[in-house]
Amino acid sequence: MMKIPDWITPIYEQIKAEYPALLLPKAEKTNIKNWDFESLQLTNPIIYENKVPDVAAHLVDEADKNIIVVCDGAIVYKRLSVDFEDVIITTLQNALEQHEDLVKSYFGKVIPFNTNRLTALNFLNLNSGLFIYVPKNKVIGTPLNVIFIQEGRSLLNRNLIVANQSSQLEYIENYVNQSAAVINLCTEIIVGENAQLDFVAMDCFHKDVIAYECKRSAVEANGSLSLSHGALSDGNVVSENLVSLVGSGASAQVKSVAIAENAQKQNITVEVEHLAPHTAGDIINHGISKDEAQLTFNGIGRIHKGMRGSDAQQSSRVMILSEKARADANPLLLIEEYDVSAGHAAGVGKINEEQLYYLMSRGLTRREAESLIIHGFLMPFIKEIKNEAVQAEFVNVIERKIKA
Amino acid sequence: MEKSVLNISELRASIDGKEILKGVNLEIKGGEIHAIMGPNGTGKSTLASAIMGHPRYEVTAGSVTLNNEDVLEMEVDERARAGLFLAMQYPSEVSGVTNADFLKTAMQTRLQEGQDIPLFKFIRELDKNVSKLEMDEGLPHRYLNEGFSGGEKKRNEILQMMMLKPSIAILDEIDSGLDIDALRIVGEAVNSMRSENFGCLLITHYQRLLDHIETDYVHIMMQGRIVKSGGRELIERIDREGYDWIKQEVGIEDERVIVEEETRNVTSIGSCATKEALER
Repeated sequence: MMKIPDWITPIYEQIKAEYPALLLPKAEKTNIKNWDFESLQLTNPIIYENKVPDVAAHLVDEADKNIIVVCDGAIVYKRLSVDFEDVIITTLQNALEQHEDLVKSYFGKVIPFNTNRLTALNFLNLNSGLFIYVPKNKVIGTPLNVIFIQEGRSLLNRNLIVANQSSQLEYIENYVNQSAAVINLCTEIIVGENAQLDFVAMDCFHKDVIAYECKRSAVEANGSLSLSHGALSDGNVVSENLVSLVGSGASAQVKSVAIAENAQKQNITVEVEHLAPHTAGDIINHGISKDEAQLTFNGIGRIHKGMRGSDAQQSSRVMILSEKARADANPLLLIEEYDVSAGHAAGVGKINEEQLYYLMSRGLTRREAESLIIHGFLMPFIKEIKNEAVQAEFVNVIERKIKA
Repeated sequence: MEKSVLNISELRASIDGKEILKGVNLEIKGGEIHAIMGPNGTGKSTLASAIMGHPRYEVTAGSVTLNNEDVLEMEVDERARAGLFLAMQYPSEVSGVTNADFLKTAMQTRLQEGQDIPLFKFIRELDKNVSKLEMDEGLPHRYLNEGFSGGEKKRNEILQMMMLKPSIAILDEIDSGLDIDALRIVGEAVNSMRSENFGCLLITHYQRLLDHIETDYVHIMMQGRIVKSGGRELIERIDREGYDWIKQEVGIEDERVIVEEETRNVTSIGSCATKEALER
């Protein structure tokens, strides 16, 4: 459990008082009432001394210039090139104590702690987190690869990432764990005016994990956010993502890829809300559901009144690979302004028989053809990962999950 | 090497329970170029699909053999590896897979374990054929048929044929959607493949393609069967007189395979933008 600096104490007490009455988030089409998000094990963190634990070794490449490995809340390995001087990268604990003024203006603003029961739970039992602050005009040419490992205790992590005006950052985060656990991740992202953030997140949780992920971003005028999420866990996951375009000219592209297998349930909601004119949002959800899994994609494009000249696009497609698998692609466009454009596509289906026939007619076996089609289906996401080791891992995990 | 022989005997095939092919007989050998002509709705494309093994078509009688091996017993991919190729009328688009990667994979499956396509050789041959077909240089790196115009898709089929080098190729209406120049280019490409080891069946929509390709045998298909066969002179006569004289000769009034229109039920997929949702 994190030490709470004095300035946080009043907020803490308030949330603690509100907590009992708060409700679970609503995961449209998935019943999460009985998911145990709240049995937390908060002791016994595993401690590593300045090395990359074996469990994360495959995600780290010798050639990587910027790597941070966090295990059960502590930074156990850090390698940063000169590209990152002037950039504040520190544990949240440290940030709350030593960068109070900076943190105060952002912490809890993008995801208010009392948003729902699980965000409150996250705040009240916070035991891990990173604060990354890129100063104004700082353009960072090499990506930052961060790996979070959960090993000894439940992971309640909150990341706060701020890219100031006209800055640029490419950020990749991987979550790794290998046993049953409760995982609760809240990420607050702020993309300043004219700033550019490429954010790639991948989770690969064990099949006995119950995970809640809440990622919210605010993009200011002319800022651009590219968010890519690889939901490759084997456990049950509720993932809520909200991007608020708060300044004119802001844009966001959110790509999610999910593979649900065996008996797992994954519920992924992505919402882009337009709170300024001339903003553009694009949501792309591609998923695969097999065995008896349930995969649900909820896509929401919301244009508020007066936000003319905005464009809300979304596309959700899920491929079903077996009889008992289930998939939902629920598109929603909530438009309160006439002078805008919006579109959506949603489709759930088996692998296209015509495509299979076409590929097989060139000599590919059925398996090879299916594999090629699935690979092509997931390509939009693969391309976004600009780190070779992570990209290779992504492809590996997909192959493993598809072949099983 | 012995010439390949594709033998089709008394072939009957149906789709959704309706019989389209009513006993087709045809033999194509390496070194020969055959053309099947005929008005729409006579079963030409069905013949191509049935030979290749399209899942929606059911063969109800007859046989198809390639070098005396039973083709109908083979899966679609086995037929391809045995040497058959079908240039489709409506090629599928497969997003995320580049044309080049796909071709390489298809060529690779024909080799034994451990044998690899030498990359440089592959690229050189691919570039050579792309330029021969006057296709855009960047095409191989675009996704398989995605965003291709009709003409580009047809040329991509020919490109695949040139790279995969099948023994017997069936070209299903390769001429529809091609302009005069593209027609000439495709014609030249097919002519350039002429050899003892290559047999070709052209299913045409218009006669013009046959101006560019030296055709050895011409067959006319009506009511799901081949009703007349001959040489080039058939093409010229049809060009001048149409198909009526054949119908008279064979005693057919309506050349089409009659397929009753099913009443289609209107299905509603539901509405997605509703006023109620706004009042959330």
